[in-house]
Amino acid sequence: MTTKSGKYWVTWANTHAKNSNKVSDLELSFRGDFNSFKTALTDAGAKVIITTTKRSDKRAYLFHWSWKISQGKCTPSDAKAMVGVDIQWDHNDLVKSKAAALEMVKGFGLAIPPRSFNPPSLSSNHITGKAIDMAIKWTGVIDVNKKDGTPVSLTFVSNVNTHTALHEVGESYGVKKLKTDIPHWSFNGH
Amino acid sequence: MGIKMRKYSLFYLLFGPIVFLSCAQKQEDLSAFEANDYSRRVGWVDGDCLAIQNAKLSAGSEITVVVLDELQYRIVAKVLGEATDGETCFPLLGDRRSVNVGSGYSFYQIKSDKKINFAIAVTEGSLASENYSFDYCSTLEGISFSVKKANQNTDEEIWNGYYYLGYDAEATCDIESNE
Repeated sequence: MTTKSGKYWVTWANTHAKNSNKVSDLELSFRGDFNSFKTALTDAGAKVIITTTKRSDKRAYLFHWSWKISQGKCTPSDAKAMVGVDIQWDHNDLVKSKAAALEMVKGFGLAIPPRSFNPPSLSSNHITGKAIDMAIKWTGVIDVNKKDGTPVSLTFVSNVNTHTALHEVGESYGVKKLKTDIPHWSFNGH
Repeated sequence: MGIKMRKYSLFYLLFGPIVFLSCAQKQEDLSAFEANDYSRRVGWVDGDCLAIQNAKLSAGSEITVVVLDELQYRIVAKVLGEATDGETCFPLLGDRRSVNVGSGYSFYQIKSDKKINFAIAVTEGSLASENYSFDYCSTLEGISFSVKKANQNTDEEIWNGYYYLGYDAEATCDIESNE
């Protein structure tokens, strides 16, 4: 049975379409690469704090279409259906459809920067399990082995985006840093 | 007169370098202090929530808010107190809380006469002059805010703030930063 778009779906998503922070939810190949990198870091004395691994495609679907409909970037009937998310975007009244979508945007806390034309993505490395968001902490200097066994001395800096030596170690394991987003690492750096 | 001048000349000859070095040291310290202090004086805003790397803002204090709409404008807002949950402060929503808190920010509820979407806030008015430019762009998972000091030939970034949104979107920030 379909349920009309609106606040209900925020509650639904927070129960049925949550993101994961479990390494076991990562895609098999990337999981192996990440585990090797993590082992090298922790063996050297670093602490790895994981915040997100695999993101829910259903959650992304709700984010994407509620954003687009609420901002008038598409009509409610443009929204594609998704198996497992029995939502009715079109209330047969454009004003009501947009208002219901906006309820969801606000409930999810989605950003609507004034110059943005980009909705939340339907697909990403997180959705395919090939990205991880994490913080890596240590004190002072540690020696971390690259995949080929070469030790690299790493001094802790607060801005991980600028730590190219750490990025190189990660890359040797196939875990690449995206330099614009503090916690983000993935199989291809995006 | 000539003697007096000679006396002063001798004084400056003997003690001038010490006075000069002392002033230079003080100037250097001040510059370092100011450079490091931006993170405590500048923060970003989502709605009625201010994120700033300063845990000591007191309720009732006034801040200058540069609202980043199509046309930027400045308003004064008041700090109401610490923000503790995602209901009133989106950066503390479940998907994004740990990263934003982990980045060292403190979160405050603020109140203003105008509705704020995204903004950069300054706790001291001195930075909010025409000599600085305020901007933002979207990253893959968040928003990057920046303040630049307008120099003759180039803009020098003096502050950058990162707001982790916890979902993916197409970035508008310069992609060269990852190449």
